[in-house]
Amino acid sequence: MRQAEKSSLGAAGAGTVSGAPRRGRSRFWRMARGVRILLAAGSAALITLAFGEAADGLALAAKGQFGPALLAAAGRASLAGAAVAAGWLVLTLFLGRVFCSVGCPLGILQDVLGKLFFWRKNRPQPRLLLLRKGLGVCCWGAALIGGWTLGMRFLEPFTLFGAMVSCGWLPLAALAVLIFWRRRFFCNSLCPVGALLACGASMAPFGFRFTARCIRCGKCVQACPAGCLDPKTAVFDNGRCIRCLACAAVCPVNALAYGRNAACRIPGRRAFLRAGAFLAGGAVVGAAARKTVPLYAAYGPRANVAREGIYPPGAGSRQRFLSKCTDCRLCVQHCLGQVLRPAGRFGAVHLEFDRGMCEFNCTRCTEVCPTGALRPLDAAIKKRTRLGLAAVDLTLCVAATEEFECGACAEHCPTGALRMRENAAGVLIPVLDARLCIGCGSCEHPCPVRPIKAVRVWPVEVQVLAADPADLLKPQQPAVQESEEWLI
Amino acid sequence: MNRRAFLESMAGLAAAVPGGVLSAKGAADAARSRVVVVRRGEPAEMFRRGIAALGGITAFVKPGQRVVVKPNIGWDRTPEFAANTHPDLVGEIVRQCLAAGAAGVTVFDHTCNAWKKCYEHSGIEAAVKAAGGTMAEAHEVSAYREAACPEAVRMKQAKIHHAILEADVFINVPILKNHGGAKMTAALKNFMGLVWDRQFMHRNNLAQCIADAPLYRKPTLNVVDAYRTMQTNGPLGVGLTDVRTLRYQLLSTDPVAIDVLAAKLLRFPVESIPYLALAAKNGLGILEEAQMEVIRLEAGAPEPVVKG
Repeated sequence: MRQAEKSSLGAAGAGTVSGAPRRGRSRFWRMARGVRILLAAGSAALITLAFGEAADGLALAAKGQFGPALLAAAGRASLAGAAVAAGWLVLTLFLGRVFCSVGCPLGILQDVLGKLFFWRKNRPQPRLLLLRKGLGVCCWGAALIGGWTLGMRFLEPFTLFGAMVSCGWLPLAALAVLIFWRRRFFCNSLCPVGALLACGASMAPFGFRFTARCIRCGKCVQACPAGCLDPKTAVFDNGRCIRCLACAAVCPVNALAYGRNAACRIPGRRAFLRAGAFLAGGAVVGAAARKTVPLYAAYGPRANVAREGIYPPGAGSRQRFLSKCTDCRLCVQHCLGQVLRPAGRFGAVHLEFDRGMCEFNCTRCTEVCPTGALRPLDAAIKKRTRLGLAAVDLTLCVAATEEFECGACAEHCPTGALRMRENAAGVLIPVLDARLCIGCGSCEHPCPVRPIKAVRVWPVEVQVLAADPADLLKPQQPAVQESEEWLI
Repeated sequence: MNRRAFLESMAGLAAAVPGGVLSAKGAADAARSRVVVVRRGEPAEMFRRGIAALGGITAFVKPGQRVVVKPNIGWDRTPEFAANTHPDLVGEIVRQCLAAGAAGVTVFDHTCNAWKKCYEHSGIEAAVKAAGGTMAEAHEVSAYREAACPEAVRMKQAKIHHAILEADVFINVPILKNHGGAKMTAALKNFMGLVWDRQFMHRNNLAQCIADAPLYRKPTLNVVDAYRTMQTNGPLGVGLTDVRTLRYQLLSTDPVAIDVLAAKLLRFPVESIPYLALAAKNGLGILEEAQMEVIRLEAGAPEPVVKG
């Protein structure tokens, strides 16, 4: 650090030859950059911990993310989501894309990974206006109007970060390659959140600009991970600037000033029309996906795979959940019964019962879901929400075939749907009362039969409320009561 | 109370005092299994009365010994649902063991629901910690050791929790419940919580495997919690309608005898619970009530009444 300081002072000394008044590096911007690094480290740590088990409350930090908040606002009319998204947008109008430098875990991860390629110098990046705004607007059109979050799944930064936290090496490797080529290229060309905030930042009344003090030494270009400035032409693109403050902190003559944004103007009719076209295009793609993907699942080549995904409580219906879940995996990381799995071939986060069962008393996934794909459920409602339906195959069941006492399924069933009853031969076999079954997998998980379990949970199209056990279950035998006489 | 029951209970009360003296001397009657039945008290209070009739905790726990207390903590349920052993009873046992000079008291169960929630919501983790004991984890295979048992009929090899294999004293503290598969769960069925692969047991004749499991480590003492009993829809229960408060507790060194009396308490015919006969055949205890010495105690009754 000290060495860097000395060399920059040397450069500043050389700069005085041009006759401009000698000004050193700005103490203010260096401190501001330090503060932003501290804030970024804190927020990245918070979001990373939100994926862990350290403290339940930390998972709520994910609700402060821009992308999920906007999806929640649109997806289930979440006021909190709307407030968070609006808050970040207003902040962007005054301070620029601080979300990208301080709030976004994927952005901060890119800054950290960028340090691995320390010998690579930053250089100006292509503006790619059409790609970055077009793609972003398309994604939002598809998600918010068309009702399909498919674009978000592959590009929304919080979702991608979640994929990487839960050991997704492929997206991490892809990101590393991108960073090796151009740091923060993702944020300015592929990221839908970046695209939306860029629209706000480029039209904002405030921003950075080059002053006449600039000596065109090019240090800012080397420092800028977004490649959004060019001292040769004195152009500073506030839309692409992620407000890392590296340029202002490194400038040997304090030539960058924050103030009125010269490029601030209401976009013309042409820009509006183009944005509208992208939005409409995205909406059409989204709506089409929403209609066709369930059809594909029902009639496509995989239709004979009868076992489709079983989705978490609060998903509502298969169609709704497939169009809302971005596969950010926050619920997967928090699942108490370890049944939730990343989307994979089932198109959205789904349940598998090989490691556990959907714990009866747990509503964790519905609490943590930041995108509103899972609606919050009251514990009493969750205990009756049918995720799937169990079915017993007595040709496989050891209780029926070998006449062993087993009862593992009935033992674990929390609603009384599965019970051991005597058949005509007087053998105890599992009998299902489908009215009570909530498809939690408490029967499938402990079933000892291999390789195919004798009790399996099958998917349902729509999650409905199962019957209330209190209405259906009568005590099966006279209860022994406390009495004066000795019971034994 | 009819005359017969009255006479029986009087006989039990009369036997209580000399019984305590006998086991304090360590001269346990090998032929007859002594079962102490205590009623009408809070769980900790009933244990204090019952253990005194068996010669006190010092008859079982010597200074410096490592003790394992194995309650039923199988389910993510609070104590009033009677799915898990009463936390006050577990806490009292841990406290008495430590007071008797135990080097340490470990408590665990291989839970059915998510283990952290079971330990927490059952109230047992808090009770054990307050009493000075330690909770051991049992949710991963690394906590279990491969053990062999040639005398077992069906389960000749099993992975058993290391704390049980290493313990000097093993106190088995189940709760008495109806059970969908095994008909009843009490002392013998509670041994499933020592075993890693429960699915093996379910797949290979559950009754025989339940009768085999105690052969891996015979219990020093069994305490059956029948304060609240789940009489239907066991072992998890659907609601409070399955639960009746009976305020009973059974203590015995014989896991078969104590289960026979526990079955009688809930009116389950002994012959309908096949693992009882299989366990007796494995030499784990006595099946015939005639060969048991049953001591009946009122927890609330003051000492002089017992003598009279």
